[in-house]
Parts: sequence; structure tokens; C-alpha cells
Amino acid sequence: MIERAVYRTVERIENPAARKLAGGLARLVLENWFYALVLLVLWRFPYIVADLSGTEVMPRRPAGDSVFWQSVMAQTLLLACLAMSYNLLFGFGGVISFGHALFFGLGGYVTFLLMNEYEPGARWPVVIGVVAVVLVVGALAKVRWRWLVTFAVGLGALMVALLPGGGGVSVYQGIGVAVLVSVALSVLSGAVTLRLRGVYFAMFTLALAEVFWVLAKSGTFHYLTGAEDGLPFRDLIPDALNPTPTATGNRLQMYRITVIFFAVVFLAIRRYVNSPVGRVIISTRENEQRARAIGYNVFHYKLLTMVFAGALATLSGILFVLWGSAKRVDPGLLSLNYTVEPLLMTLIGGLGTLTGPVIASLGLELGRTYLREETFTLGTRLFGLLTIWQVLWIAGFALFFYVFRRGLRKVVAQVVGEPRRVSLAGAALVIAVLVSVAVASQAIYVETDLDATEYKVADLWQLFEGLMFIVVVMLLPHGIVGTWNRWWYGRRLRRQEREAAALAARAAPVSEVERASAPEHP
Amino acid sequence: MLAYFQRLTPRYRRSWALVVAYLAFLLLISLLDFGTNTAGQTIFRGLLLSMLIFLVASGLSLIFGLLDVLNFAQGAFLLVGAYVGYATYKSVELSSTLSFLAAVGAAVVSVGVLGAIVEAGLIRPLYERPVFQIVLTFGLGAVLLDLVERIWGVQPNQPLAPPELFSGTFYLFGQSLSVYRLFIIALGLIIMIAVGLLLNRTRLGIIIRAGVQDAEMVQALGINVRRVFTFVFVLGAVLAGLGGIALVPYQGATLDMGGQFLILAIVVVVIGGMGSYEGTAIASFIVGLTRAVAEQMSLKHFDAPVLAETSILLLMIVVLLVQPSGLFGREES
Repeated sequence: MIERAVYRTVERIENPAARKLAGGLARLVLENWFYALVLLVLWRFPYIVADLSGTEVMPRRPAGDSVFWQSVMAQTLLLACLAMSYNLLFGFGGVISFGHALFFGLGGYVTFLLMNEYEPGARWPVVIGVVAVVLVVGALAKVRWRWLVTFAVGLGALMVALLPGGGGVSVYQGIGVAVLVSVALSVLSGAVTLRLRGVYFAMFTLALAEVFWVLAKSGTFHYLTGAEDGLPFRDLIPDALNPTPTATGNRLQMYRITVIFFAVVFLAIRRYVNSPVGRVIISTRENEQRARAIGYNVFHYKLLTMVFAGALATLSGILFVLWGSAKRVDPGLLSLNYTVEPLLMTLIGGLGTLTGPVIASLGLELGRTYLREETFTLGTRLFGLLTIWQVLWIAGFALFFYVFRRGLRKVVAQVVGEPRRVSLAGAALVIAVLVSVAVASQAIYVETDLDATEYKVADLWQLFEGLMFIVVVMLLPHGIVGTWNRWWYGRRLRRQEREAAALAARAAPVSEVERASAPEHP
Repeated sequence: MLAYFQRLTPRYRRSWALVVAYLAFLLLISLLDFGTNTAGQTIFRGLLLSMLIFLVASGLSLIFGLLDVLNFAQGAFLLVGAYVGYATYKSVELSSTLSFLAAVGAAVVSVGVLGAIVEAGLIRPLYERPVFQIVLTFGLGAVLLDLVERIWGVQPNQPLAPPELFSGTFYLFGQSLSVYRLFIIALGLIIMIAVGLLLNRTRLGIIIRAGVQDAEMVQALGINVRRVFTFVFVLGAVLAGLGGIALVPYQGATLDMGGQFLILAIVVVVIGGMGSYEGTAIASFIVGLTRAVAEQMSLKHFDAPVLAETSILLLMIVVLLVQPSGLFGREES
């Protein structure tokens, strides 16, 4: 309503230059006001929590609710960044990577290993080694020479610039090198597999990530990586990046850096998707052969997307590591968990939507933290309505009916006397089994004291996520945001069609601004 | 045998030559580096590993070949087989051979039923959305791992004593080894030959092989391909479950074994060529032996098994770069 009123007002402006300016401004505001609002809430989040819980934003001691939720929110936002980068690759590019955790965990390891172990003499061997590996693999994978040489020279030059000739590596240099390493790794794995079918890429990335995970937690490199204990970095970070609420660490500043990082990642991905390159990768997802037939070199576009997504994941991984309370780079960051999480968030939020992964990660992570202390038994009533046991029971039967819906339809046809398709005995058997299962399960529930066992929500959370995963894949393929978009834009499109028809009937042209504001892809 | 080689296309003949040369190279290098006894032990360990990998990889390859589904839950099937088998073997109080048989039965049946449910209930509705099939099996693997962890706990379970029938030891290359290891190798070989015969000598095998070529065409010929799909999926799952229970008296049951064997199986399938049974069988030997030799070598020279994991990955990278469709696979576009 407001939107249309604004556009109508804009159209009434006489001066064409002013009208164009106002139109652009109106679109900017109308399309972004919600994001700006969310950003504002995130920015003020520590104060909001502080007001609600009556704690301080930056207390000396003890850390209150606000401090706790700052770190929860920051980590959630970083996971959202990870999910967004995964979504860029999978949702927009249609490339399934099962090794995204590698890029996430890589950042911390590279940065702090460099800071610990770097010696100025290693500069040239490292640069030459990385460039040589990239050149050889790229040449074998038949990447175009011009691209390859440009890339290798650029990579080498950046590495030389970031690795100092004398003295140690600073955190910022380390982060830069970590991103470069992530880029090189993306290019290598992409060059090896992106030309092949998608499954090869999925398998290769899975294997690659698994190998790095095993190496990171193997005792062999204990002196380097700290194996299972993780790589400690408490003394390596400057105060500016230290979120610990101590005398020198500045948690609030770090929180703000995180929020800015999140906003930048969001905008960068939005820009990327709406750029010509982004359009090409979306078309590749929709129909790869056609994109190729039009003349796009699909391989290079996919590679570019992968590099971009990998670099974003690396950066968010470094920030995530800094937020950890143990001040150690945990090998768990490289584990399958951090691939499954963004995948799940992408799926739940909606493949190929910008806000989907963010909504899903906010919901899942904040929910997990909020419910972490809760316990329940099978007799607990959900929202005061049904006990969990009854919900499980109903879900089980619904699943049964869903899986065997065709067989059951035959049974019903038999019972209501349609032409004979199954034997009456079979129908009777199915019904008897169903009834006896129902009776037996209720009897078990009454007899055995199932209420006695208490479960912690935190313990069962992963299982819950896993079940959600299957349910979403089976029943909600477009995710929350995707389903909503389909309904909403479909509605808007129908309305616009109606209006256009009405206007056409009156032989008046459709307003130009309004047509421009219509979504291209409902 | 000779006829087989004469029938091969030049590419396959080249692949065979490569395989033989590579295995000879491995043998030679281990003989030169470790001396006879250690080399023999290493090769023996490699063979054992090859057989276990084969049990997982053959299912992966069969399922991919026919159903076009890359089953990332294959490792989880192995895990479920191992844990169910472990629990049964431990709790059934018969003579140890009988309870081992019961464990094998329990593992096979439970994994088979699980496979049937997964195929019929979860994968079948998704044939129109192939990307989601991969995602689903991947998620399912994580869910099953989680379930196993919830039921049996995080603690690794120590290997149980092998059944009486295989409890003896024998002397080989200056080391006394449990007969059970021979049993694993025999089991792997028997399964390898049995499935090979099933594929090449039976009517069902013809249908499966035809389905690998073109499932729609087979359907058009009036064969219920979906039922064959389910059968192959269950077969693949059962093979992995068998691998799991075979591992119980050898390595015990631990949560990370599913992931480990899945990675190895993936490497095998990539090297052997997707959907090619003979390729999978041969590549299992390559991967198992490479891993064992690399492990031994890095233990000797670096004091730690660094090379074991990376060697496999390097092998995979080289194959993907040089021959992306694998040694015995169909040509990829």
C-alpha cells in the first residue's frame, strides 16, 4: 500500500531529473528499510539485552546476561555468514560442496600457525611452493593459460606483500595470508573437479576436508597444532580483536566489528548475486548446458564463485575462532559439523534466497542457546496441549500413513467396496496391526514409567536438527523464505496482472516505475 | 581369462597395465625399503584393509551405477552394522561362534531393513530432484551417526575376542597373526566373487547391468526397475553392514570408523570409475595397499603415520587430473 502510494507521488514530480533521483531514492529506501532496521537492532542488541535483564553492557566482573548474549549473537552471526557463503555456492551456484568446514576452520589455523612458526627465511620457499603447485595443477586441469598466469602472479605478489622479509607476522598479515591460502585451495579443488559432474566435486571436497581434519587432530603434529587440544593463541591477538571482557579486551568493539562484518558479507553476496556474474551462475544452476551453449565458460564462473564463497567462509571462521572462550583453534572447526550446519541452515532458510540462511541460523542457534538448560520428559506437555509422547505417537502414525499411502488407499477401496484389488484378509490384517500397535504403545507408556527419564534439550538438539534436515528435504524443498517468496510474489504478480488487465481495458499505460519494481523472478 | 583381455578396449588394457605396474611398484618399494618380513606384513595388512574397503565401496559403486544416487550414508550403514553386531555379539550367550553368527545375522538384517526403508521411504520420492538425494544421504549419515552416539555412547568399544572357530593364530613373515584376519580376507574375496557372479551370470545381474546403462530403457522393456533399485540399495547397505560386523573382532566399534571408510570408499570409486564393478574391486586393492605401504613408510621415516591419509588423497587428485572418469569408468563429458 505504502509502496504504491510512494511511487505514485514520485511519478507526479514534473522535473525528469528530480523524478529519476526521487525514484531511485524511493526504491533504495523501500527495498532496504527492513534490512536497515534489523541492522539497527543488531547494533543495539547488547543494550537491549542489558535493559531487559538489568545487567551491564561492559561490566568489570561478573559477566552478566548482556555479555553472554553478545558472544552468542556474534557467533550466531558468524555462523550465518558461513551459511550465506554456503548458500552462495550451493543455493545460487548449484555446486554442492561437502567440505565447506575446511575453509571455515582453515583461517584460524593458517593465521596462528604463521604467527607461531614463521621465519623470515621461509618467505621465498613458501611463495614459490604455493605458486608452483597452483601452476602445475592448473595446467594439468587445463585452466586457460592467461587466467592461470595472471592468477599465479597475483597470488605470488600478494603473498610476498603479506609475508614480511624480517620479523614476525602480525595478525592482520596472517589473516591476509589465510584468505590467500583459502583462495589457492579453492582454485586447486575447483580446477580438479569443477569440470566434472557435481558428485565428483561433492566427493572431492568431502575427502579433502576430512583429510585436513584428521591431520589437524592427529597427535603427529602436536607440536604444531596442539592436536585435539587445539592451537592456543591467547598471547597472539591484539587488544582490538580480543573479545574477552577483561581490562584490555574490548568486547563491545569486537561485537561491532562482527556486526559490520556480517552486514558487509550480506551486501557483498547480494551484490555478487545481482551482478552479471551472479546472473550467469544462477543460469548455470538452472540449466548448465544452456548456459554453456549461450557461450559462457561455466567452469570459470563456478570457480570464481567458489573462490569467493571460500574466502568469505575463511574470514568468518577467523572471527569465529576469536570469539571462542578457550582461545584455542579447535580441530572440531574442520569437522563435518561445520559443513552440516550451514547446509541445514541453507535448506531450512531456503536455497538461493538471501535472507533464508540468516533467519535459519538465528532461529536455530539462538533457540539452542535459549533452551540449553531446559529438560523434559515424555510426559511434558508442549504448549500445554499434548504430551511429547502423544506427539511422537501421532507423528509416527502420520509417517506410516504417508509412506504406505498407496497401499492404504487400496485397503480403503476394499473396505468401501470398490472393485476388488486386495484381499479382505489383508485389509483386516493391516487394520488389526494398526489398532494393536496403538493399544500396545499406550499400554507400554502406562506400564513402564517412561516419564521418569529426563532428557536435556541440549543433548538432543543435534538429533532434532537431523530430523529437521530430513523433514525439510522431503517436504519443504524451498525452505521457509523460498516458500514464502513463492506465495508472496505469486500473489503480487497476480495482483499486478489483474491491474495491468484493468489498465489495459481503460487503454492507459502501466506506470513505468511500478513495472520496474516488480520482481524479475517470482 | 585370455579371452577377457582380448575383448578389452585399448583404454581398459592400458588401465590394466597401469594397475599391474603400480602394484608391482608398491611391492618393490616396500621390499626394498622394509625388508622381506615387514614388507610381507605390510602387504598382508593392506590386503585386509582392501577387503574391508571393498565391502563399503562396492555398495557405493553399485548404488551409484544403477540409481545415480551417491550414497553418503554408506559409512553410516557400516557404523550401524558394527554397533548392532557388537551389541548382539556381546549379549547373546551361546558358544562364541554361534553368537558371532547371530551378530552377523542381526547386523545384516538391521542394516538391510534400514536400507529398504531409506530407499523406499526417503530416496524414492526424490528421483525428480537428484541434488536433494545427495543432500539427503549426506544428512542421513549425520543423523545415523548421531543416533548411534545417543544409543551406544561416545566411548570407543574395544575389539571383542574373535569367535572360537577363528580364534587360533598362525605364523607369517615373522609375526603371529590371528586366524580371524584370514577370515576377513576370505570373506571379502568370497563376496567379491559372489557379487561378480550375481552381476555377470544371473538374470537379475543382467537387469542391473542394463539398468546401469539405461534405466529408462529397462523400465520400457517391462521390468520393474524400481524394485531392482531397492534390491541394489539393500544389497549395498548389507555389504557395508557386513564390513561393519567383520570389523568388530578386529578393530572394535568406534564412532569415527564410518567416516573413515566412507572416505576410502569414495577414493576407491573415483579411482576405479563410478559404477564399474571390476574397477571398484581393483581400486580397492590399490587404495588398501597404498595406504598400508604409506603408513608403514611414514612410520619408518617420520616416526608417525603422516603419509597414510595424504597419500590416498594425492592418489585421488592425480587420477582426477589425469583420467577423471577413473581407470575403468565410462568416459565423462
